[in-house]
Amino acid sequence: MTCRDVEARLTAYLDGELDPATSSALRGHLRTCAACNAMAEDHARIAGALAAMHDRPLDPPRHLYDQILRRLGEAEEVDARRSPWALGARRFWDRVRPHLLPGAAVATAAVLALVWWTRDDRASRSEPTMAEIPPRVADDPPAPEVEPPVPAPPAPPEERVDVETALVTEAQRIDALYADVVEDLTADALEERATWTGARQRSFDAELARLHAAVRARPLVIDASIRGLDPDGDHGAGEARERAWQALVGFLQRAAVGDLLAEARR
Amino acid sequence: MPVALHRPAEIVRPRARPAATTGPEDEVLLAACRRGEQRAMEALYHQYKRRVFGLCHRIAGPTDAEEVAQEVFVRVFRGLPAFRGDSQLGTWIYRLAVNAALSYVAKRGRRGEVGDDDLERVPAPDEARRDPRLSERVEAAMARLPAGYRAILVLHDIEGLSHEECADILDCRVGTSKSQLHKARAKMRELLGPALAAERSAPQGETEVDA
Repeated sequence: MTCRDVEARLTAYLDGELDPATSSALRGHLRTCAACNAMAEDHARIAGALAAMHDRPLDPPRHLYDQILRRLGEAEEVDARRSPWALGARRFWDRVRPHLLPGAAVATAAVLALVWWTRDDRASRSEPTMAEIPPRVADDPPAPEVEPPVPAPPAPPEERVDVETALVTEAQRIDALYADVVEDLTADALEERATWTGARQRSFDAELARLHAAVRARPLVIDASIRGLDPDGDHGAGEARERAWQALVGFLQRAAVGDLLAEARR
Repeated sequence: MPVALHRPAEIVRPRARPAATTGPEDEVLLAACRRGEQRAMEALYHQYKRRVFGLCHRIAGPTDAEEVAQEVFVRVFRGLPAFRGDSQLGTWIYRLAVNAALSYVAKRGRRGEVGDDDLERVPAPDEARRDPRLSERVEAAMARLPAGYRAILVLHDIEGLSHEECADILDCRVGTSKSQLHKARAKMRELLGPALAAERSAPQGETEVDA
C-alpha cells in the first residue's frame, strides 16, 4: 500500500469503515511511514476534538422560544389577510414542499413555477380581473389586450350583471376543480417520485415545470363563448387553458399510477 | 526489514448516537403540535433546541445563530402538518436546520466563511507552541471552512450521524457525503497544520487534547 493509497483511505479507516484486510495493510504502512503516521494522528486528533464538541452543547438564549412564537403569530396574521385563492395555494404548497428539497436546481424551477402559479391576490396585479373583462362580440378576433367595453347583446342591466357573474363563477369553478385534481394527483405522483432514481426525478421535475408553465401561459379569459353560452363563438382561449390543464393531469396520472400498471402487467 | 517505528493511529470509533427516531410517543407529541397545543410545541422545542441551535451556530456563525434558529423552528412548526413521517423526525428537523443555515450563509455572501468579527484568532505559525487548547483551534479553523464543509463536519463528526443519515439530510448520495467529509477533513488539517505539528512534538501527557 502506497502513501497515496493511505491518504485516500484514511477517512474511512478512522471511521472504522474499512474491511479487515485493508485495515491491516494500512496499519502496516503506518508502522513504517512516519509521514503517513503523522497524518493519521493529526486526523485522529481533529476528529476527536470535533467529537468532543458534541459534549459541549450550545444552549440557545432563553428568549428564543418567545421569538419563535412571535414569528409564528406574525405568519398566521399574514395568512389571515390572504385571499382564499392564496390559502388554497398554501395548502398545495405545503403538500408539495416536503418533496422538493432545495438541492436540485430543477426541483427549484418546478417550485418556482408552482409558486408563480399560485400567486396570491390576483387583483393586485395589472392583469384585469374576471369581472373587468367585458363579454366580447362573437365574431371579434381574439385581442391580446383588453378592449374598451363593447356593447353587449341587448339585455337589461340587471340581467347582464347576472351573466357576467355566472361566467366568472363558472370559469373559476372549473379552473379550481382542475387545480384541486392536480393537487391530489401531485401528492400521489410525488410518493412515486420518491422511489425513483435521481435522473428520473430530474426529468419528471423538468416536465412538471414545463406543464405548469403551459397552464400559466394561458390565462383564464372570460368571454361570452365559454360554457356554451355562445356555442358558435371562438372557444380558443378557454379551451387552450383547459387542454393545458388536461395535459398536466394526464402527466401526473401516469406518474402516480404508471409503475403500478407496469407491475400489474408483468 | 524496517522495525516498526510508529504506533499506528487509533481508530476513532464513531460514537453511537441514537438516531432521533419517530417513536409512538413522538407521534402523540406531533399530533398535539399539529393541533397547536402550546405545551406540546414547547416540549418539541426543548427536545431539539440544542441540536438546532448548535448546528446553526456552527454553520452560520455565532452572530446569526439566533436568527437562523428562529427561522428553523418557525419552519418546523409551520411544516408539521405536511410532515408525513416517511423520514425520521430528527432527520427532517436536521434537514430544515442545515438548509436554513446554508441559505443564510449563501445570502450573506463572503464565500461561506464566518465573518472576521466572529473569527477566533488562529495564532500565526511561530506562535504555535504547545497550545493545549486544540479544541479552540479546531473551532477557529472550522470558521474558516466553506459552509458546505462545515455542514458535513457538524453532521458527521460532531453530531455523530452516519453517512446514510448525512446523505439524507444533505440530499446527496452516500458517496458524495463520504468524499465531502474527506475533503473537509483534509482542509481542516491544512488549516491546523502548525498547531498539530506542535502537538505531535510534545511529549505524551503534557498536552490536553480537549478542554
